Amino acid sequence: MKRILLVCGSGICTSTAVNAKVTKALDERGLKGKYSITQGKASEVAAQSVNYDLVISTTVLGGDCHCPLVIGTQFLLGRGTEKIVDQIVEILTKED
Amino acid sequence: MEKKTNALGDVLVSPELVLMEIEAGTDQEAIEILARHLFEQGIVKESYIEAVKAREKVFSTGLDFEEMGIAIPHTDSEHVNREAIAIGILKKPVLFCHMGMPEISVKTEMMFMMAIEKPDSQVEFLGKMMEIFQTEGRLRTLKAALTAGEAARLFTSYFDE
Repeated sequence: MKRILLVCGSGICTSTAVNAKVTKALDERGLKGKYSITQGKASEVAAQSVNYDLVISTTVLGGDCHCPLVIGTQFLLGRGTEKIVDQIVEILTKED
Repeated sequence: MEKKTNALGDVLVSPELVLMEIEAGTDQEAIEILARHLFEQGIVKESYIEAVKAREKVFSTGLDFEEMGIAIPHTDSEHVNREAIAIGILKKPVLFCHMGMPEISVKTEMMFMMAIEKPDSQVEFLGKMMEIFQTEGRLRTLKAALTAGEAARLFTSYFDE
C-alpha cells in the first residue's frame, strides 16, 4: 500500500476537491486499493512526509519534503492533468 | 414549493452575499472588501478578515481557468460562523498569485470567497464548483449578471445540473 499525503494551505478546501479527482484518476489507471490518501496542511509536510511515498500539494511548501513531490493545482483547473497522473502513477508503481 | 437540495448542501448562496463592481487595486484590497462584507452579514467572525488576507499572502488562491481568472480566498474554519460562499465581481481585473504556482499572476475578474466549517462534508460541493468553473460559458454568464439576485440564482442553478 502506497501512502499519499495531499496538502493545501489549510488542509481543508482545495485538498478536499483534489482528493476526489486524484482518486478517480488513479482508480481508472487500475491502482484501486493499492494506495491511500491522507489530507493535511502544507505546514505538516516537513515533519510528516518521511512517512509517505508521495506528497501532492496545491500550494507552495515552506519546509523540506522528504519524499517525491507533485504540484496538483492542475486538478482544480481540469486541464493538463494527464501528465501529472502519469507522474503519480510512475512514482506509485516504482519498485522499492 | 418543495425545497430542493443540490450539491451546495448547507452552503449558503444569497443575493446579500454578492458584491457587484468591486473597485480594488490589489488582491489584498479586494479580499478586504469582500471579507468585511461577510463579517457584516454575520457569516464570519471579525478575525476572518485579517486571517483570510494573511493566508492569501502565504497560500495564494488565484486560478487561471480557460475562460477567466478567478480567486477562491478562504481560511481556517475557526473564523467561520456559518457556511457560505460570497461572490465578488471586480470592476477591473486584479492580479492574484496562482495557487501552487505563485510566480504566475492571474488576472482575476471574480472572487469566490469561501466560509467553510466542515471541509470533510464539503467534498461534493467543492468538486462540483471546480467542474462548474471548468464548464464553458459558466463564468462569463455569471459575470454578466445584471443584479446580485441574478448572480446568486445563476450560481445556485449550476449546482442543480
